[in-house]
Amino acid sequence: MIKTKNLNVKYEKHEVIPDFSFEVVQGEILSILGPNGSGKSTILNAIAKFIAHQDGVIYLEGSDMAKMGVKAVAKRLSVLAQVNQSPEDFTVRDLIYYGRLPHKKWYEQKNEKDDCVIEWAIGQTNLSALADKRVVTLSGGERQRVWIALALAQEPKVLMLDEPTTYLDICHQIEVLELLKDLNKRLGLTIVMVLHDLAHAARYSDRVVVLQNGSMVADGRPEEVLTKELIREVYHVDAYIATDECLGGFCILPVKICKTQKEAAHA
Amino acid sequence: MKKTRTNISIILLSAASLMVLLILAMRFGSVTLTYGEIVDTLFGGGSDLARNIIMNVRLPRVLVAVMVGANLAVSGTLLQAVMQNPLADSGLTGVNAGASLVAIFIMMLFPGYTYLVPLAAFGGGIIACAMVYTLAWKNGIKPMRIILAGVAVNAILGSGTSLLSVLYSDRIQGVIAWMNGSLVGKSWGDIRVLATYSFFGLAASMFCIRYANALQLGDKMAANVGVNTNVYRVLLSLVAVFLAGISVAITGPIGFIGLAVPHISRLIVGSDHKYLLPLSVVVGSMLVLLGDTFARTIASPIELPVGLIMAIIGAPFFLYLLRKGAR
Ligand SMILES: Nc1ncnc2c1ncn2[C@@H]1O[C@H](COP(=O)(O)OP(=O)(O)O)[C@@H](O)[C@H]1O
Ligand SMILES: [Mg+2]
Repeated sequence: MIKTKNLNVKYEKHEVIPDFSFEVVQGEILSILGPNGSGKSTILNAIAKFIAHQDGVIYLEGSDMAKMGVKAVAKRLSVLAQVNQSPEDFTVRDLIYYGRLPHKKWYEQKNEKDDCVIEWAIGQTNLSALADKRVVTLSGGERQRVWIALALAQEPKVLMLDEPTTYLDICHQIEVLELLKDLNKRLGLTIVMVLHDLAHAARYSDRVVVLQNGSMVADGRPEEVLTKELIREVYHVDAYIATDECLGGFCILPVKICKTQKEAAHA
Repeated sequence: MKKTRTNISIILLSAASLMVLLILAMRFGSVTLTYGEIVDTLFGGGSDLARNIIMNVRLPRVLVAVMVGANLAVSGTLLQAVMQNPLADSGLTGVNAGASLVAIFIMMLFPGYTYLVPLAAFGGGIIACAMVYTLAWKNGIKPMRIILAGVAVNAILGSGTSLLSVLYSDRIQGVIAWMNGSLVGKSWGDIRVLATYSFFGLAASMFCIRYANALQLGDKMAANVGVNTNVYRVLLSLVAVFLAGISVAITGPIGFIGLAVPHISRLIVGSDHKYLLPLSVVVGSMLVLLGDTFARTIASPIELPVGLIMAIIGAPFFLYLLRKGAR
């Protein structure tokens, strides 16, 4: 679906992503993990064309994205930033309409097809009861569902989300993740998301990619990748890992901050 | 759907009020006319005196007021969307400062060529704005850079204007009216030019609706739904600066309209530009028309600059609306 080859991203002279290659497989849920500042958002932003990359190629369904127009990209790929803003007076339905823009020529007005897709997106995200409410009056979890509905209205093949559960309470975190899993199952939507909660990543992803200082340090199934050693190396945290059925399967519990062996040797 | 209908009714109603206001405004002046005389004259009848007053003085004046008001209001609405900043208006892009410098240069140093002022002022405004956007461009265009570049260019051009007024202080009298925005003595020729350009500018602005709305969702969301933010920031600015430029060229800078009308209109119909832009056209027209009618009657026979009146009556009204926060 999406493939990056030797992606290199710099802010001014500060090289954030030296050389990043990976591939997103159709129909999977892929989580990108890594500490703050490791370059997760930067990679998403580069793929979304929000920022330019200096070197490397990004392919979307086999075509070089540099040669695709923004609208062509927006019909296949939707990227939700970590924080989104809605004008104060826009209702849920008003806002979701903007997901239709990539499908419209500059002179085309809203038509029946758009209304159909908007209602479908509202149904898919369980927003029927809220559709005429103003977005700014909704709770964080509800708002996140509205942005996901807007993304669905684009009818994309791939949905990327930057920290979709940050700022939400645990109930709404799970609600959003369940919704994404559900969309992935029912619609075959490929999902790439940045997460901070390793337990969530383990439970909801088919595959995880771990970043450290802009480079990939692990890539694979969560149970294989998320080992005590990796968590210690990347996050400097000692974790308790269990595969306990009463805890819902694979489970990661951060215990305490530790030093890596290298740092310990320096000290 | 109910909202759609309400908003359309509001826009139509205010357009109708504008028509009434037009007739009202033509009534007052050194000679007070009756409504019958005004309507008669507009339909080709009327006494010679009424004909003379209406056709040569008052009608041109109210038409200029309406068009300039519409242009400045739409320009402000578009620029607030482009900058994502509620304090933006055309002054920020350097267009006023550029137009003023060139106009004053001609009026003070080459008074014989005063007939060239509109054309030259338009050019000056566009060049100043091009400077601002060129300075602001760095791998794309971000609102904060436009604002900072605008402040810098305004300061440079403004000091040029000040320098001229100090060096030629003996000739400042004739220039002061222009600098504060004046609708005095506009000919049918001016109106023809203004009407043609306003028509194209306002028509173009109606194609900006979708993109102005998308920019309100933030750069990343706009890009996500396939709107190239750099391209549309520049296109929308072009339309806005064109509208402001043609207005400044004819009447000199009139402040406050571009800043306040978008807010007033937003309080009434909300932030969807589909309603916001048309209502801005009407509210802008009304405000300048009202302001100018006050300006020429309140201290008659002295005429005050309309820009001054806009600030005196407009600002408190604006504050009242903001506090009340309708909707
Ligand atoms: N706009 C920017 N300009 C300069 N440096 C930036 C910018 N955005 C991010 N960075 C830097 O890039 C690095 C990676 O940031 P980011 O991709 O946001 O990390 P993450 O999302 O993993 O927390 C950080 O060191 C950060 O300081
Ligand atoms: Mg981030």
